Amino acid sequence: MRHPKPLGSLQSIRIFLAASCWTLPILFCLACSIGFAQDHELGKSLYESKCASCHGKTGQGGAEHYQEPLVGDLSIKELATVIHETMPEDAPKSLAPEQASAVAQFIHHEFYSPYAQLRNSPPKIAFSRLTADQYRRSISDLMSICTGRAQAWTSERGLQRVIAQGEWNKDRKEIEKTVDGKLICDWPDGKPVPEVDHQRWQVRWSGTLRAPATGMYEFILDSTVNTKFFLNDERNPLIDAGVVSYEKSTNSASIFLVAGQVYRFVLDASKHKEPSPRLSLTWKPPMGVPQPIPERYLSPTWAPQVLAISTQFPPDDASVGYERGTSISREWFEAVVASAIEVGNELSSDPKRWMPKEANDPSNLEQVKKWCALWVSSALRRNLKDEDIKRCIDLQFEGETSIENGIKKVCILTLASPEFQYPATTGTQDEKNVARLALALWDSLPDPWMLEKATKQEAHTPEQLRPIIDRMLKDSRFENKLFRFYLEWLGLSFNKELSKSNDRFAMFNPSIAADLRTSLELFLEDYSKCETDLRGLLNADTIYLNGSLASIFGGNLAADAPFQKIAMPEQRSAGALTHPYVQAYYAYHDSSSPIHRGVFLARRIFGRTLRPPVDAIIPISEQTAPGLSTRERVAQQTSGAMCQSCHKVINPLGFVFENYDAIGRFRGDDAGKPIDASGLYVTSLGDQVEFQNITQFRDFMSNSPEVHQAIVKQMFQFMTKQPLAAYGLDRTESLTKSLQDNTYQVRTLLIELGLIICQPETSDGIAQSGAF
Amino acid sequence: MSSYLSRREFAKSLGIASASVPFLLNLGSLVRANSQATKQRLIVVFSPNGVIPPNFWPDEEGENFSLKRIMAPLEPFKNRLLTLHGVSDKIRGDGDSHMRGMGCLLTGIELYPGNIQGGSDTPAGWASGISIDQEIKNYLQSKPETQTRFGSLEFGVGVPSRADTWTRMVYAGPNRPIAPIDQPQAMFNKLYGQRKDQDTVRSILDDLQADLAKLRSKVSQEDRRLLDEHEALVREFEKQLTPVSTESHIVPEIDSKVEDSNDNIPTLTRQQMDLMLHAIQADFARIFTFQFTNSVGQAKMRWLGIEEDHHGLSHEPDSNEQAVEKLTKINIWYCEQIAYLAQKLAEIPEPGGNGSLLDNTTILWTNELGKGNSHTLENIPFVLIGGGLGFRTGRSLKYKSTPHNRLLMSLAHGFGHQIGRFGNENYCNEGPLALS
Repeated sequence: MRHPKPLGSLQSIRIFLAASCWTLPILFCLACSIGFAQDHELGKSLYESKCASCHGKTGQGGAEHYQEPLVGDLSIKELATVIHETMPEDAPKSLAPEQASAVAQFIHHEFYSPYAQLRNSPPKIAFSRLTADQYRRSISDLMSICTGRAQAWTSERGLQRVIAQGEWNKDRKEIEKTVDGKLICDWPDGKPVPEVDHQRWQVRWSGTLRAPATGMYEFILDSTVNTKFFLNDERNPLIDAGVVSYEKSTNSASIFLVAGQVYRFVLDASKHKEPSPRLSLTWKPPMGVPQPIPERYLSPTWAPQVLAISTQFPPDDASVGYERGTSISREWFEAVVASAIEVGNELSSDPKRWMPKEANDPSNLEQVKKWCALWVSSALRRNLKDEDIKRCIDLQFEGETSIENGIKKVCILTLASPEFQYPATTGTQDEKNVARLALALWDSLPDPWMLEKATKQEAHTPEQLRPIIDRMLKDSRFENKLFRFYLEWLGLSFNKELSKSNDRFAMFNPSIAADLRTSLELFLEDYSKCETDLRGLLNADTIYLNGSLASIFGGNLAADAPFQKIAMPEQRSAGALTHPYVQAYYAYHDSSSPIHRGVFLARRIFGRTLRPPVDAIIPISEQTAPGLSTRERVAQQTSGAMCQSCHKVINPLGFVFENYDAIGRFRGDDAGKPIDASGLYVTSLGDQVEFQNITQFRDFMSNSPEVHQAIVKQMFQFMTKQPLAAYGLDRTESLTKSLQDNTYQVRTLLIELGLIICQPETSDGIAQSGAF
Repeated sequence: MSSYLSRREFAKSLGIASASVPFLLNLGSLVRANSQATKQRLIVVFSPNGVIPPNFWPDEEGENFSLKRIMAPLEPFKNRLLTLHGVSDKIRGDGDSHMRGMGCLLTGIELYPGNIQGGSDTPAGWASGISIDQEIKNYLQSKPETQTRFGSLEFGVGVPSRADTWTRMVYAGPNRPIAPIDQPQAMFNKLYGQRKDQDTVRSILDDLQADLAKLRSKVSQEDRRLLDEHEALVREFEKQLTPVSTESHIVPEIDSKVEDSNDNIPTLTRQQMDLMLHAIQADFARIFTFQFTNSVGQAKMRWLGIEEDHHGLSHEPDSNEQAVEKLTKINIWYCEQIAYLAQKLAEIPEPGGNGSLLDNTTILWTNELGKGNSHTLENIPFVLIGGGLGFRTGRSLKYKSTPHNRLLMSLAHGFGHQIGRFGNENYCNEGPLALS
């Protein structure tokens, strides 16, 4: 049996094994039917005599053959067909259909079905530390408690640009103040506005920058005038190009930024006698290409400096489909210590900068201690008791030669402490609640307002918690988290480089790939608010295009047109799923890949479990099968009975997208034959649904309870980093219902989510149902 | 001058700029055991604004010479001394003499055309090549037997907090100036920050263990597994911290309260030189630069009774006897600092070797100009002290307007780095100066 070589992140096919969608209680009803007992006994004896020697007595897998456990989510009917056609391996079809059906029923009930799996080993709430991402965000927000948070972004994009005549501290006179985001300037007249003279003028752009993704950003400044670029830190330039060497006028610097975080941004240029003044500031985002900084990531608002750590953490365990902090390692602990030192050095080297404005005398020990108490309490997400203040603060300053050393010790002790690392393990129930909510909705710390609610014991009943959660949903940190979830749901968290065959798709260069990613992100941003109907992700017919994308993907735009929302023909659109970036991502470099698309749909969109293929193989090439369409080649390659146990689910889903080629462009034919985009899906209840085209598929999908459940479950797990079933076996259903009952807006769902995680736990880590 | 370090600068100064380097990875190299028998070192000391030549250069040539007033403090080291009169900075192109004097001093190559305007000459940018100290540092760092933790350390005193062609003489490459560290506390952090951090971390580990134990009692049996692992990691980590008793080198104490101001230049100089001596003994680096103020430096040496700034005085004509006297005194003061350094190096035995530190160290005292009021780049002060590079000392040498590129090459050759040219190759034709 041969399988296509997996693409990138698709390799971890097991991801959803442990987190598979569990089937509806209707299966229970089936099991309760009259013939159940007889069939069950027959199935049991057949399984024990014919199957158990290889699959193990409880389907746990054999030592030599069939090592994988016998678990999955096929319906009993589908399972019976597979058994009948493929088993036992040495004598397929030797079992009569009713015998195969009895075996299917037995194993489905005992251990195969998702429900049986949950029943046999119910998941628990895992004791967890902060993930690396949560750690970084918590640290960033920690000092904002003293220095204030960034101003909320208005709809205005770009930066505030001030043009002035003269010199700083001398005769500077403001000439023009406007909002502008273009950081590539050529001043052929030698000046930006006619009102200034050729010598001695200044331009200052200021505002904030929002990082679209987490990672290392390179900023590239090419300037022939005295220029300084400040990011986050307004005193020490990231790039200091005060001295310009005309032959080498380019300077660059890299900085680690966190997705969704807002950073102070200042670019100062001043001209004296330099001839031919020009300036350009561009960037290379993580995995992106050097490009102008898009205006949508710039705002003329203000933000204080945030504590940004550069210590690299080892990646967190993501084997269950979401990052979680359930394991620790030496590398992790060393990174914790190193980053605590990094923050300690930052705070102690310039405490004044981080102290509250009203009390910022770093030589005043009492002020310093008070400040320390404020952020230690924020970091530990609870009020400090007298003994905490004595131990965490007073004792750390005792015997120290300098106040700075004391600050450093307090800082390192706090950030390396288990209380900071394992949130919601201490404090009152109210304090635990706000800590959990802050992690789930912001990946960060509760803010002072929430802590105050907890202090007043106003954060434990549903009535008290609802407005707290509702307020959190309006914060940009939540919107960013929702945005990141949608990327995760689409399997696109890792911004891998998309490259396509140069022979076939010469127009698909790195710049187009980067634009496509941007286009998708703009689309997802529209859905990152609680009030949006989430089904648009599956059925919207709009797309964001700019001039260069429009020339490839349709839309009548000028070559240099900026990104704008454009309606696509309805029969070609299924929301984010038919976005060219998604289609190109799930494709080979020279052809479409119905298998990758099918696996993506089955696992992520329908929440189905698929077994990993036995081995990875190279697909049949076009050359060895000339004249065949991609659909025909794939069908041929996966026609074996063993393959079909999974590919009968995968292929008919993937074929639906055959209208999209390797770069996600709509096409009418393939290998000279008209595209056949028909497909089918067998629901977990065993109902077969057929579709002839994208429109029918889209309508089915956006109304499918399975699809709704899958997104709810993945959203819960992404937000909380815990398995949903740990909070009760009926939670998927109830949460899905709240989504469906509220016109598919996520607000109510997320409020419910917040209430669920605030339940008091029993000592064995299982949330108590109905605790309120 | 800024009184703080940004986190970026700080991280860089700690030598943990590359944050991916785990905390512990660097600790082993804090004190590096080095097997090589002789350790060669170079210390370049810069003082600005030219000298008063008649009070500086010995009249005689050869082994029998007497030191003039400015160099008199070096009398105890006369037989370890080599004065090189007649070596000139031939580099022309953009930039005024102060700029070229500084930017081309150790690079031996032109400045890029650029936007920095000084005097009446054409504006210029940064130097277009690497400086010789960095060239030698790279050479030493490329070989395991001469590798040190930092390779080179750039000290400064009273350097203004602006980055321009007048304030930078060390270049990692074309257009890549390296800023000297002019605050002893910042240098201390660079040298010993990690060890201080270790001490701080060590001091909180007990608290951490106690916190873990406390938390352990609050979680379920199953969840304790993670905390047990956590505790084990803390214990393991503690063992890996360098034990205090095995440190071979004592961490110096510095007074961090000395403000970075003009009047504190004498104290700051002493602190920086002492840190340098410690760094030499710990073998943190083999190449050092020490930059007094900057080209066009404007120190007001009130501690000598001189109220005017150095650069202003240096423009006075030779006929202004008072100014000449003051400038002589200023240069004597610089020389005294170098004598202090030489004295200490001569007193301290070479760790694990023979002789003193000075036997294996060469100090090169230099300046961006030959003479302040003429702004000449002829007869740049080049005075060598010590036995580091194996030059034959106890001599006063006189050259006839020889390009200083040749001297820069000699320095590299002294380390066994046989480069055929350095900087502008037009000035390298005659090869390195034969100083051995």
